[in-house]
Amino acid sequence: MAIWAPPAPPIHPMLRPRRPIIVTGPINRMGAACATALERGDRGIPIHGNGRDGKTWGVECLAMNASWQPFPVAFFFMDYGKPEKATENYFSATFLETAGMRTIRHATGAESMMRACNLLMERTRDLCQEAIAVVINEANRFTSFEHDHLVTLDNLLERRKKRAFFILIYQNDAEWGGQQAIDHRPPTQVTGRFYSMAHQFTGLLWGNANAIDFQGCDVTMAFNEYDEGVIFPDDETGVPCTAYFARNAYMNGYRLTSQVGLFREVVEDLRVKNHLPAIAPFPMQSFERFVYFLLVRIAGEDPNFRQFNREQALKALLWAGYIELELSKHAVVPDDTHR
Amino acid sequence: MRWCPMTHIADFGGARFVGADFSSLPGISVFGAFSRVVRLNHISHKSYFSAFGIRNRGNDDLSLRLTFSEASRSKVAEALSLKSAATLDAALWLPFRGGSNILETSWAFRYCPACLRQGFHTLLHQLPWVRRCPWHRMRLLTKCAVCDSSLTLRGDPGHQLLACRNGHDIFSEMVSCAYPFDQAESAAAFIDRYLTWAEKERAYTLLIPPEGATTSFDAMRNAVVLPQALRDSCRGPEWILSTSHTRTLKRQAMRANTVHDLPSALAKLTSLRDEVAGLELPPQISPGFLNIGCQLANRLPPESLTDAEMSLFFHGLACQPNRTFKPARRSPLAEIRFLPPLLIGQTRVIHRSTLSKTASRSAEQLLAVIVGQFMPPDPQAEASLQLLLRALASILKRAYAEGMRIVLSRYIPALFDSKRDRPRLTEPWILVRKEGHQLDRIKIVWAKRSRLP
Ligand SMILES: [Zn+2]
Ligand SMILES: [Zn+2]
Repeated sequence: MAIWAPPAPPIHPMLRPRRPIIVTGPINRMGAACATALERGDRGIPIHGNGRDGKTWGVECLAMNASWQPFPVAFFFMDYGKPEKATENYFSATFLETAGMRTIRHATGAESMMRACNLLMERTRDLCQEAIAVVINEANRFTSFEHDHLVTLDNLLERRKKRAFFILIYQNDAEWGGQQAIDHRPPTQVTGRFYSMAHQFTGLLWGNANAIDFQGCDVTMAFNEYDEGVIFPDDETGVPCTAYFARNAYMNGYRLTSQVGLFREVVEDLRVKNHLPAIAPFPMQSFERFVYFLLVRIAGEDPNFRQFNREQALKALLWAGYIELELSKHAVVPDDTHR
Repeated sequence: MRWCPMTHIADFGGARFVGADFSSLPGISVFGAFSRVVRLNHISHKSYFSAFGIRNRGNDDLSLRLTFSEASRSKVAEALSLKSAATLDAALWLPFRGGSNILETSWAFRYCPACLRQGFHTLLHQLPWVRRCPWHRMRLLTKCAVCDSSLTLRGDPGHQLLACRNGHDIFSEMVSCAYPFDQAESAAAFIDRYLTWAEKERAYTLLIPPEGATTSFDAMRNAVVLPQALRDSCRGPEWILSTSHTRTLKRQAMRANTVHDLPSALAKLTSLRDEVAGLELPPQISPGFLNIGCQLANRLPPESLTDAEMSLFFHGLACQPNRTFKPARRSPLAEIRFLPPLLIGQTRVIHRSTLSKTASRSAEQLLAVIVGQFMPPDPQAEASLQLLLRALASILKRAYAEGMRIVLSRYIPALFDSKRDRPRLTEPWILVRKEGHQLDRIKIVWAKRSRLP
């Protein structure tokens, strides 16, 4: 029996289970840092940042957009676990597993490393990328052994006329600090090879108070992306995101960017009430949820929508989980003196 | 600034091994795919089971096993998602029906150095009638090009798969994963044309291999002739010596006003099937047998045959023994007395034990496959039967000549020194080609037996 389903009309990106990412100021800054490191000939770059700031999303954006790359770069992603023994075998097996390769029992570490290297060679074959970026999430779990494995992989690739570029993502607020941080600090020969320039990834910056210009304020830039940048269903007939969910208001000239001042006040109030410093970068994850709630759940459900009021902004902020996230950061590192 | 779609970035195309995207490796063999993946993924023989579900048995030639063992082949095909029919079914490469195991009989892994360097091997390279790689124009090899020793074709702790015993590596890991196959398009085009041709041929052509065949490679090299368009790019050096001898018989128009009576002639030969001691020769073909007998008798060294034996070879014939004939001084031997075709009444009969067994079995099979398909008096069908009778006569005459030499050599050791009459055994490979409803051509390739059955 065949099941027949009518052809589904296209769904707006904001209503899909996985909403798209917008390229924001922090991502642009990270791209610039990677470009500089690549251009200079570095073998890697450490990226530090808080959880939920959108580091991983950011790197995925960098992988998909070639415009920032000084020369073609292929991207590979690897999530690093918590091994009992930081062997070459565990490292290469994790790498191969992430790439969907079949696990082979009895394979030695050396065999798997060569296999991983061949995999990288093969997957960069068709677009002829000479530079291979390997993105490693949770690099804060690395010990000196893992750094040795990076050196091994780097050497293997170099012998095959490829250049490795390790993007090592460090979570500021996880498993990091105290005595452990010293143990985990890479040996100097590794530092020279991979760590000549670190990049601090942040949430969206607010810029100077009252500065609502696009250059100085990541948050304004990001709102503008919803106001102007996202055209649905297509370039010919489509409208930006804000216009899609707040049609009448948009036609009367309403833009999200016009309310940045209000949003900033609401955020600051909430932070002060929770004994947090008034100004802090807006983490990408809660920002994206915040905009979703405003546009889809408030403006989209109200045919008479004209602009957001203070209560609505607060409701959206709470729904986005903003304050829990901010409080949790400060709970982990209550007294941040050693950094 | 713009949005990014949330696609997964490093989509690895579903392949679970390095080098396992076979879409640009047309018609790759199962062993080709296996060895490529083993080398690019550094899979040691201990891990064959984990990776492919097959056990490494010490002395197996894996190229042979993965071509002909259904169980092993399907395990590897499943692990590597090999689906192409040309990869999985060796019979598709043969331009005839019957004899599906001819590649197995004298198997030797055969490769193009330029292809194998890139991790590509195809069953096309195993075909005896293909001598060069059609797209690289390189001669196909079975040994190491540098030192002529054998390649490693089994999981062996001491040696890399596809490297020779002295360590010369035919396979290049770097080239195989960092570059696309250099001849993907021309290989795909050639293989496609070849397989189309082979499929068409299979509809017309039937192979009758000799029973207990000992040599197929050399015989098959001569048996199959590729059409011009395919032949030019895979023709080999002409100086390759062949130990086999080919005879092609074609259907001819029947001459009018002769009495052929082919059905009864063929009916006489059907007694090949029975366990009778004598084979009655149809009158159309008996002169040939008589000729073979008396010419051989005349060529024998002096004092080989007794007077009585000699006269039996010439009994009832117009020709005479050479005047130089010197009789042997011994009593007549029963075994030799049975050699000449005996005249019984009006007919000639040869003793079955004189015919070499392999050849007479082949004649019997040919007869069984063909007879009964053509019904005279249709003149077309008559021409087909005539061709069949000529082919049978050709096979049986050779069977007779060879059988006779073997018997004689027991009593006349000097025969072993004779270039022409030395006892030897060959086996016939018969290719029967039909065109429409009629027999069109019968090709018989006589290959020297490499060992006794
Ligand atoms: Zn070739
Ligand atoms: Zn060699």
